[in-house]
Amino acid sequence: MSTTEGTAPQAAVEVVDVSRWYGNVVAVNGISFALEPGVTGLLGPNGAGKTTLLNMIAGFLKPSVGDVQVLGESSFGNPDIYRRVALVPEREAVYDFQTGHQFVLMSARMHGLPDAGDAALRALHMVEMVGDADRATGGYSKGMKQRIKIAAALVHDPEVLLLDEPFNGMDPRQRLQMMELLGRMAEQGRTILFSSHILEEVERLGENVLVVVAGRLAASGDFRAIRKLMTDRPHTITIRSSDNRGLARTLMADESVFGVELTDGKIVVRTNELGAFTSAAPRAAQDVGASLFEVRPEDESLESVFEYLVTR
Amino acid sequence: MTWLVLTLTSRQLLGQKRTLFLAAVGMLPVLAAVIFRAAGDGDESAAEFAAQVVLNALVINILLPLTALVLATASLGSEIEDGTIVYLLSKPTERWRIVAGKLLAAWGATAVLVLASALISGVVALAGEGESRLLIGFLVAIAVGSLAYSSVFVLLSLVTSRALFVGLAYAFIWEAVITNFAPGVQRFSIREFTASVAEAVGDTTPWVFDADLGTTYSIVLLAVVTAVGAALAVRRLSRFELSEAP
Repeated sequence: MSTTEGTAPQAAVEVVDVSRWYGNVVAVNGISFALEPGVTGLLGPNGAGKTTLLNMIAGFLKPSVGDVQVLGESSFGNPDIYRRVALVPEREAVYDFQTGHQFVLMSARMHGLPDAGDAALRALHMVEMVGDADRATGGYSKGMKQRIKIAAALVHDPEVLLLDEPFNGMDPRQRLQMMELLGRMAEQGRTILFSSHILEEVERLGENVLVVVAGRLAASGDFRAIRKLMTDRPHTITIRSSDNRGLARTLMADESVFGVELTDGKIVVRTNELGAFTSAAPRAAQDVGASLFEVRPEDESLESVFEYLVTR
Repeated sequence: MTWLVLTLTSRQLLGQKRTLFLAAVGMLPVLAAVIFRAAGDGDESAAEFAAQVVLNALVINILLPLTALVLATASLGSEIEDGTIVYLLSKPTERWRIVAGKLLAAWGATAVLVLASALISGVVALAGEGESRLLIGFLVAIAVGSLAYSSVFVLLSLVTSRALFVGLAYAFIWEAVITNFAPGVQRFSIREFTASVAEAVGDTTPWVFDADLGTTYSIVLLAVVTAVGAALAVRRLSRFELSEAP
């Protein structure tokens, strides 16, 4: 089955020039990357194509063009890969009438594991759901459903684990536990890819990041480098004060500022160094003797950050 | 895997309101039989009434396709709708095992509901008439016909998200109406195949019950429909694509 003989060791997941469209809508557009063991975060706003990408890697969608290889095999229409690969889907629905234990045990049995009972118990322990395992999943919170889905996916000890928005609905404590769990599993040599639209989740967990915006790979690599790109971009800030004109004059002199616009009742300032500016602004106000009524960043939404990365 | 899917699906079907609804619909033929007996002597014999009205018109023509359609789409279509199908598909197992589990569950549930209705209404309508052969004919036909219907409807729920609508159109426009105007079309109607098996096994006299198609042709076609439906369902599931959550 292995195609790696005689060649360099293959990446666990290899995505080559993959696109996927639905009718006229392009969901994923010419994406290429390779994943090594470790945790990788797939970051992007909602609707960016993260789920489509994960489903293609997991073999639940056929790429319109391009090639997806998981552990050296094509994943679409190849159920055998599920011996070594698992997907935790974003959708919440599980079989409501089953208890958590029944759900995980069923997964173990469907995998044909020789010690399904032990495997199920081990997986329940990993996600700390043993205490609630005998309750019906229909009564679970979002976070518990998320964990029981992960337990069902872990039951066969997969080498590649794909998780679609795994932290949705979890409280901060559960989030932290889950991050630790994913980190531990990565240390054991597994390849883990999880998607998220929340910057901080990816920052804490993924050293490697893939940023997807509007179906394209906007950035990839070390998170710190990408973070720097994001903070060093131009910021636009709106200020209202008791003396707009005086304040504008003083701000223009500050080195952190590269543009000042005076419009009706407010100042619009553009800066490249957000940190320096945030200390410069109050100082300038003090110098002029103006009181600040409002200091508001204009474009702090994640979408605008992503947009910047794409147009950069 | 097949057994796991079968037990899972049976539990899914048992816990649903639509199964209760179908059980209630299954009481209608029984009600018709009770009214017939209570009304006393009519022009029709008990055997004619049981065969033509209760077992053919009500059970085979209405209850059977309706039950098969609702349960088949509930067994597979609703998993696709909810997205839980991924928990079956993400297993290293041949796809035919999943289809087999789903089909057996849908067939079993359909057969149980429809056979119970046919048995009770048949016994009520025929009590004391010594026509048990007729009733057995219909029971066998229903067992066989429900498999063919289930196979087609399980396939349908894999092909379209509007399987219920398309299935209703097939059963109650194609089979019920169009076959009346265009007799040639009867040759492609599961209910006619089923009726023909009932006639053959029940060994009914023509004035009691007379199916339109030949027995051998019907049995062959039932087998073909069942096999082709299941095979196409396996093929379809092997190339299945998960649609994204809305």
